[in-house]
Amino acid sequence: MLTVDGLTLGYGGQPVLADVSFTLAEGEALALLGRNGAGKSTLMKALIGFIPLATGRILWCENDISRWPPFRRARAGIGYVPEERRIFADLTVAENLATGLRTPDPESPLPPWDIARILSLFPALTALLNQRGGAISGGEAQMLAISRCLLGQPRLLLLDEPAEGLAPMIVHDMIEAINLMRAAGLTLLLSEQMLPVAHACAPRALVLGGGRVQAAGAMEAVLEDRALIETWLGV
Amino acid sequence: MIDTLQTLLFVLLNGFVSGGVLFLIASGLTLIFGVSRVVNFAHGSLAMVGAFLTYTLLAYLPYPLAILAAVLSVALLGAGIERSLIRPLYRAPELLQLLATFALVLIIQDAALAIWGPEDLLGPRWPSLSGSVTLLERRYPVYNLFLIVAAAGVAIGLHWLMGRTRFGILIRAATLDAPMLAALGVREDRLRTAVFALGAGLAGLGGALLLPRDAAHLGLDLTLVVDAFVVVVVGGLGSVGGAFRAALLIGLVQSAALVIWPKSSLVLPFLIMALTLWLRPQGLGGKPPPPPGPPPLAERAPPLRPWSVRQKQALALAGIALATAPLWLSLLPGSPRAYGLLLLTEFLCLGLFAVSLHWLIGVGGLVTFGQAAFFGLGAYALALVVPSARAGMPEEMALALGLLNAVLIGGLGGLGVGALSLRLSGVSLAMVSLAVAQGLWSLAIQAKGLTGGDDGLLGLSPKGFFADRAAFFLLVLVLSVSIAVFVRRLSFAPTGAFLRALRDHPGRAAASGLSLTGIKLRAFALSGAIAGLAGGLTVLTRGSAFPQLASLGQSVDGLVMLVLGGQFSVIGAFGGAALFHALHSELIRSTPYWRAILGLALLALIFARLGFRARRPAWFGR
Amino acid sequence: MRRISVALTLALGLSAPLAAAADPIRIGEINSYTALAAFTQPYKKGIELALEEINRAGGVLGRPLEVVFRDDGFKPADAARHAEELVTAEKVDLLAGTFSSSTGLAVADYANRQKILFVASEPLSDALVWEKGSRYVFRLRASTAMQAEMLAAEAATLPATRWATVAPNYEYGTAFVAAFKQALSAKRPDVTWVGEQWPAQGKLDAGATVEGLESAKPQAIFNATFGADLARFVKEGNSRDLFKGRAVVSALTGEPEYLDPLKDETPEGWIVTGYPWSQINTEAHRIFRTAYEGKFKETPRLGSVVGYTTIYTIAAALKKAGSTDTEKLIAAYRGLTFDSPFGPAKFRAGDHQSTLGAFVGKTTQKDGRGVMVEWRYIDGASVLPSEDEGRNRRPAEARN
Repeated sequence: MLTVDGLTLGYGGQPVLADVSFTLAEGEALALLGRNGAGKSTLMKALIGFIPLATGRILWCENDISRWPPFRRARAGIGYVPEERRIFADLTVAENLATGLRTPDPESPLPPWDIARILSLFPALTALLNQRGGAISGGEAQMLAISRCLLGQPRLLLLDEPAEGLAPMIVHDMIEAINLMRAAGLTLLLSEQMLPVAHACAPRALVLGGGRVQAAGAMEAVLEDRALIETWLGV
Repeated sequence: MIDTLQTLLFVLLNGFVSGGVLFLIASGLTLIFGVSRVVNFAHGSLAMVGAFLTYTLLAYLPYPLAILAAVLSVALLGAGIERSLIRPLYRAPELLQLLATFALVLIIQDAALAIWGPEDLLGPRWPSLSGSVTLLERRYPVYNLFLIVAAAGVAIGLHWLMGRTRFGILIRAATLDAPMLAALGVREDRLRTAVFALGAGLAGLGGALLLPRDAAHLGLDLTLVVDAFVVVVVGGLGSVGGAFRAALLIGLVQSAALVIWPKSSLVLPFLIMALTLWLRPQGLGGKPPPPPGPPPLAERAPPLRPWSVRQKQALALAGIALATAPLWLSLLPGSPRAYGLLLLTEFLCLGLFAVSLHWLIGVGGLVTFGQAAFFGLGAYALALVVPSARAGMPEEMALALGLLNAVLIGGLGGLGVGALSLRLSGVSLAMVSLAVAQGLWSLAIQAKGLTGGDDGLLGLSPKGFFADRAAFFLLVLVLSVSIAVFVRRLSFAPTGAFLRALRDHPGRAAASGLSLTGIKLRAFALSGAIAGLAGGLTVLTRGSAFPQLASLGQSVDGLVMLVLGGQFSVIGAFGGAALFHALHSELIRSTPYWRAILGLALLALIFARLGFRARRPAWFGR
Repeated sequence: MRRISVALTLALGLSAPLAAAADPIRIGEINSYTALAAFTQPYKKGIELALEEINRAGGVLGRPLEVVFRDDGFKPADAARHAEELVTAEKVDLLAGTFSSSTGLAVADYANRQKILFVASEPLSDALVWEKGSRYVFRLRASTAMQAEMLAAEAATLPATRWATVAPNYEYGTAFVAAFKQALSAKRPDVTWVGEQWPAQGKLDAGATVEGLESAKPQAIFNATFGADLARFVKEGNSRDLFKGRAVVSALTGEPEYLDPLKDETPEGWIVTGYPWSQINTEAHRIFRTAYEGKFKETPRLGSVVGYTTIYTIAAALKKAGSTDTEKLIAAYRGLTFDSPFGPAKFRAGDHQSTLGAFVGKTTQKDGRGVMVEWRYIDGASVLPSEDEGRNRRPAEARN
């Protein structure tokens, strides 16, 4: 469904990602692993269209979307949940949800998301609907960011560090929610520094280091490769 | 008792009327700014077009329909402008954005001149609203009450739109974080066009509603937009609710003050603005730090390099050519010596003015739109000192004292503006500096006892040795060259290096422990001092000082020079000044439509520069 | 660097004046052609008519007259700059024009400094010929003091004793109010001045101005605003009954440039100075009006008369001087008698003020348009102080 082919980009001549390639099939979940600065977030931004590619291609459902503007990628079914969540702070939670709302495509194989379904996925949001987006906790903001994205009826979800800065209890809930979304048929690409979280969410892993793909394969295999973890993932 | 009540009631009503009109214009400006981060100088021009169009349409339609048609046309015009001119500017540096929309002001002004002619077009009354009612034994026009209702209606309508509709929610979201909205699948380009059309329509409505009690005339554009700027700054950039409160505040205070102190009308809004900024820099409805939008496509400053031998030779040659101008000018056919020396002296004064801007904008990255404040301060500082100094000392001493005072007062003015805008940058800084300059300009007009008001101060030409144009020209040349060299040296010195660091990486500069406050203040002070000197010299060149020297036009002229010549070098400043002055002097002599030509040239230049940069890889998001 | 040299070439190359073949006498004319078009566009037409007539008759001193126009935009600084450009680059023989008192004084300052003749056609400030008078400056129009005297004579016959004033806050307005107060108080010591409004020129806030006047509760109002300010003031005043039961004495309001736009708002019975063009039946005016309407297919305004007469006085002075030499022209202008559509008048040698008069009358509405009624022409000489007194009010260096 998603094919990234030789993706290279950089800020001001300094390459940040070099020759990144991978594919993602419908319904799959892939975790991007790597240290801070490895290029995970940059890759996410490149996929939603915030950063133009220097070379390489992004194929989405057989279309080359490398030059599409972000809104078009979003409308084509790519949902982006940024690391900083980017909740509209002055809007209420309900209004934040409204910004993402799009009528579902009747031909989509996935069941449509509406407010009721969102609230059953994240019941905690129910009590918050009239709160200001800037006044909710980090975990709530993360749920809101994901919900806002889901209301756009995406088929692929780009989750950038979904568990970052969350309390352990919430992390657990988050993992559960992610697995529920997977079960609902969504394709997932998540970046994660916490290996247990990644392990709990995705069966496949891609290790980024120094802007390049250092390893790719089954999560178990990656996690067992001591040398790999030492070099590219260890703190 | 009844007198007090009467006065109170009418002060309130008049305050509501002027506040309402202010809000109509300002709401559109702040909406557009909120979503697109572009300050639309042409907003007042759109209102003016609204008034003119309504006037024309009244020949065929009754008032309500004429206004409706005018509002729709202006909204359409706004959408067209956004699509064609504004869209390429979204990621351009603020300086170019502001100048481009100012070019639009010039073009629309001349277009209106060509279409509707130079005469004021007095609107007929609105027949069904032309009467008056008796309130506390005094008559009050029904139309004024209608204006209050209309403004309140628009305010309520906007409140509903922003709070209760998805369109409004999207507008507010775009104000906060437009790229994220795009990532959620919203076509923010269309949203921007729609908001621009809405804002333009509101401007058109404001202009159209002026007509039944006022005239449509060519001066409306700048008057309205500057008033609206003040409201938007006081209300907080991008905040519609803040603009509403600010418009009411300014309208009421102005209305009250006019009863007590009738000559303060022009200055008051700016006083309110200065006070607001001092107490609450983000404005009434603004959020503490303005949300950082997508970083502008940074205008990469070329690295500062010492002049090459060839450049030095060329500069020396130019210096010699200038220094010997009094000689070779007399040899030219048609004896252009007197006029030539005037042009060259004016060119040097403008060049100095451009250098003061180069230091602030080119070296410091501090975009100001009110440099005329310092120019005007210097001008009046000299003009007020020289006449009395002449009585007690030789002419040359008096002139020196005057120029010294110009430098001093200009520098102090710089410190003042710097202090007022310490926490601001980008568009906020540009608007605040502009409003400060407009305040000083109004003060120059209304402080008649000191400045002579519109009548100005006359009799300031140098006497004695420097009465000779050639001698005075050489004096200005020596001063300009010394200051140019000084500024150039300073750019390499630690002060300049700090300032450049501030320009290129404000965050990192702060993190490395530099005192931003000190650097900014010093930068403003020096810039103000140089601009003050330029103003003082201009007064001596012209022999008079007028409020015009502190006007918006003067500020914009300086910026045009900088864009023409390139803002990153002293040579660019002088080159831009030369080109601008030559073009301006010739255009103004040859065509009444020189504004439009200047505007078109400016747009062409800006788009050429943008096109050039667009080939570099752009990045947005954060 | 290259930019500088290009710019220099441009600046100097383009500005070199072209040598004219017919060698006309050149007049540099500065006025607010866009900022106050209602007056200055007819003014320009008046000039064009006079030029056409004079040049058709062979010009002056065997040379055609030529006028180089510059627009000052109502800005004194621009006016003075244009003056310098006209003299040094266009090499005009003399300067003429200006509308506002501020631009007039600014150009006069330049003329005085550069010792070049300046025929101030329209600016009304008294200072122009008196306190800031110059040997090089002559003024055509009836000044603020003269018009104030004419209006005060009428105002003195009114029962009102409580007066308020409204005038634009620059030289013209302050001079007019001062002159009117002085003239009326001299005739009527019982008059008290209860309020004054000083709106900025072109920026009158009608609501506040009317409010200010209303709260002063005057019995009569003296107004010196004009143009768009006047229109706003009248509209707001009408709808708030400011003028009901109050006498209003108003400068310039009877001039068609300011009366015509008022249309059905024209207030009834204001005592005004102006120009009742449709009702003047003197031979001189009839000839002028026929020629003007024939050439431009529109009726004349006061500006037309002022522009037309300005050029004719210049032609007369050139003829009398037999030269374009500034000193000779000054000598010629002093005591110069000339014909105008209003009849003969002269420039007083003592203070360089012309005796061209003005019409005083009352406003009324006829078919939804403003007109002047009960008007009469008042000769300027009758409202001026003696020439000696005028001379004594001038600076010493302007007296010889």
